Amino acid sequence: MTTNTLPLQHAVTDGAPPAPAKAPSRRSVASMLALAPAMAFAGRAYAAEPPKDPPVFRIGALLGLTDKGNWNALVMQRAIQMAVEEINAAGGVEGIKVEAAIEDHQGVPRVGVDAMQRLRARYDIQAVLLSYSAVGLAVAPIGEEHKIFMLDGGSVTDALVGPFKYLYHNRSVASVVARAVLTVPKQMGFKKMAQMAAVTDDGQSLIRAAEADWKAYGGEITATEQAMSNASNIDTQMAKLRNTNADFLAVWQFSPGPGLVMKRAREFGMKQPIIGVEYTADIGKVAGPHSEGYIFASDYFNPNASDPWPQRFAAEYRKRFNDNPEVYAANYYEGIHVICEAIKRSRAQGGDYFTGERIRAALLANPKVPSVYGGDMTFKPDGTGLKRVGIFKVTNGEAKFQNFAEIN
Amino acid sequence: MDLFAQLLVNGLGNGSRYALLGLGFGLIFGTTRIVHFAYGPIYAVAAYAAWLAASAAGLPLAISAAIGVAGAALAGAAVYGLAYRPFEARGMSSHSVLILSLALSIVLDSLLTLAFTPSVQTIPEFTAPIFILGPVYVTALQLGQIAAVVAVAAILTLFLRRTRYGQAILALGDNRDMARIVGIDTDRISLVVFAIGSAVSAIAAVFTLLNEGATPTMGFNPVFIAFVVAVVGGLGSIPGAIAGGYLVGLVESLGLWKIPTEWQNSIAFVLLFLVMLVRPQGLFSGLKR
Amino acid sequence: MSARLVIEGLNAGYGKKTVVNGVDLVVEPGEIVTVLGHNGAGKTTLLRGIFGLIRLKSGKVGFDGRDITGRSPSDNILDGVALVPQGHGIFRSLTVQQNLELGGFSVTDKAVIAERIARVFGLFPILEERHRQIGGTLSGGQQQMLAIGMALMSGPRLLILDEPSIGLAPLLVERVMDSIREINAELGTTILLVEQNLKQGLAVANRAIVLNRGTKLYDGSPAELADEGRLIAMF
Repeated sequence: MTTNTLPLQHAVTDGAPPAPAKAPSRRSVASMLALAPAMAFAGRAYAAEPPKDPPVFRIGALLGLTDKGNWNALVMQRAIQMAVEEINAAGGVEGIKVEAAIEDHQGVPRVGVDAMQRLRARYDIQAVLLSYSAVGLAVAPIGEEHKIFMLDGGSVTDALVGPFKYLYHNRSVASVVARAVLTVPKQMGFKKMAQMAAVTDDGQSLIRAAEADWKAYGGEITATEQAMSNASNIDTQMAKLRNTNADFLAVWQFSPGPGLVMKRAREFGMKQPIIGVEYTADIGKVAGPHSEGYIFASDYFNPNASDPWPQRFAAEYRKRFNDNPEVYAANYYEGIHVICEAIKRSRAQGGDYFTGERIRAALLANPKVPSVYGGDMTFKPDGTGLKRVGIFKVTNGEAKFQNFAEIN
Repeated sequence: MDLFAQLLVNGLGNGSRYALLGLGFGLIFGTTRIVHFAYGPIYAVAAYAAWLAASAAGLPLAISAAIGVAGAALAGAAVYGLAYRPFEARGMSSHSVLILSLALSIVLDSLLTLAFTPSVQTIPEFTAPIFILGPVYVTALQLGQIAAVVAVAAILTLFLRRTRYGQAILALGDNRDMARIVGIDTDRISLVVFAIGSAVSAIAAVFTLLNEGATPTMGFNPVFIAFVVAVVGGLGSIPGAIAGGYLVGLVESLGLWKIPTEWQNSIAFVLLFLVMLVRPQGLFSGLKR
Repeated sequence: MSARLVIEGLNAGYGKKTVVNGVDLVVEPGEIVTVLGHNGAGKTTLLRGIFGLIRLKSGKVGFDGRDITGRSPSDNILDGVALVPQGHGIFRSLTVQQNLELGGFSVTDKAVIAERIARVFGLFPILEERHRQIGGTLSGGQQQMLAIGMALMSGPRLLILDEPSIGLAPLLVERVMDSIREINAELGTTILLVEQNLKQGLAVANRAIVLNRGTKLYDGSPAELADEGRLIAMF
């Protein structure tokens, strides 16, 4: 998509095609040059041109539908479809319908790249929702090169933050959640941490953030063990962790890994508190009764918040899917809404507004968007969305909110 | 020392599971010379059959396990009868059959994913009792696995030595041509071998279901372990498969004591490589039964 | 109980290649017939085709007045045909005892099995001495005796042997040929054998057949063939 630069003389008429531009006079050139800086600072004056409406706003999504950790992907898919239907039922975005084009990345970066190329080839996609760090890292350069607006509501790796200006995040990243959950053992006065991580980008990102934070606090790391994300035999790792007599065990893994870690830890007689960054139904299934007391940090989605939007979202989600919404549902539902809000703002500027570049520009101009978590979410210059992180504890298989994490 | 003892017990527990995998795979390969990659999905079928029996039908654990084993036996025999056998009857080379087994493996994985979703399925009511022996924690499942290997090895040995079918299986594994010449129905025996081999792996699958839950691709790694164990132990040898299984289990467990645990997946293959260098026929080949 | 073998127009081969071309052959009950020919003349293919190990392209095989064309080896065994394949066909990882029991796989009566094993041991006492020994550790000659013994376990009326003397020292070849005569004389078993060893093959036979490139060149008295000039003309 190309950007439009219009000569100042051009005026909007009553829908008739614009008059051809005349060669500018010296005075008009001078006035253009004088006003150019103002134009640059105020954003481009597209208001003059009518908006170029596409027949439909197609938003892409890359989800790990057939990946082992896919329980999240199904939730993401549901949430996306729910958001799309809701928006369309209310008349779409400025009267134009929204459509989701969902592709399966299978948890494999190469497949994610193919899927992204398919979205580009088929739909000339301008906005995509991403999930899963390893895929995000593979796909982000493509989005960046072709100026596709990307919003990631699932990945946690810090490696995705910074290098890509077209990549935004509405999930708190590793450096945030790791620090958040570590406030708990700090409050308990613990000094010795043992950690178990996945050999993935997310896992490594969490270790880096955790180690920096824990060492700065003056704590000690007694053992670090790792396992492939689909490993079913983690006995040696658990035995080694048990042997170090740490005050607590930190699990830097995603669903369903933490379930097995908890189970094994308790089976091997480890009594220390276990903390982590995620809890899902799959984790609960695998851990069984051993999930009791597990503490984790996550973006705080409270379906019972007093704000109308979270309540409405939760009620509708429960009605449709007979399940309580959590972080992934909230983030991907919100993701569609954030993009639609950005499209709306971009359209207000007129011209060829449905481009990744214009969507991003709209958010740069005003980084505050309504959040389904309640109130507003503000995107920082590095593209990460500021959200409150909550501390949860699992009791009888269910995650119960304890408090907000106070991260320095 | 405490850690060593725990790692030893873990190695024996996991080694038992690997031995079962190697026994089943080795029996199939040793007798039919088919590299049965679809062993993996059939392993998963066993776990899902047991899970369905326990969760959906609410049957007792022992019966559900038996259903899992029976399900795998039927599926294994079906794969031979409906896929491998027609290929062989057409005179297809062993390479073609290998590709067929890979293709089957992928197709069956996908079918299982469609049927059961990639989410993990567990039997929530089941928790294994834990025994504490000094510094070592042993779960009932680990003990069960060891007992299962002993039982399966004994039954299989008796079966092969004392029954007509057993003798026919030994004959087929030794010399396929001669087996036909003495009047053995090699197709039927192969069918039986696939059923038995799958049933043996199913026992390991049920333990996995109870330990970690079932997922559609849970059979992917076990095929490789089974292959490594069967080759290291000596193809078609019962004592070989058991020795191979425990060797892999112990090396994996104790080996990771000092080596970073990211190397876990590589250890079995490094062991395979070393054995192939030093004794290509496997540890027990030549002393078969 | 006529163990008469009748072969009509037998065509057999592998893939598109035809190795046996329209061979006709009759073996009368109680005869010892030797089939001679070069490597690649189609001798082994002929035997395997008769026994049902390979599919015939065309032709008929009759035994005991019944059409046994294309029947499986297990069916043929039940009808009284047994094969001793080329190259000491035994189960190398199993014991002599196990090998013999497997030879009698088609027999369900344990008493009959025991009786036949005793008969084989009578024919080849060395096998009785080594009945617990692993087949693969026997000498070449002993393995061949075992292979013959295995074939006898099904109580065949027609015994087919493919190059029983191959790889054996002359003394052992004599021993094997003697045992073939003994089986024919004492058990009344009809014998059809293929031999590379011309001298021994002709000496043991009542009738000789010569195959060349899949066709029958000669069918008649072994004595006439013993004339070297005739032989050279054939090959």
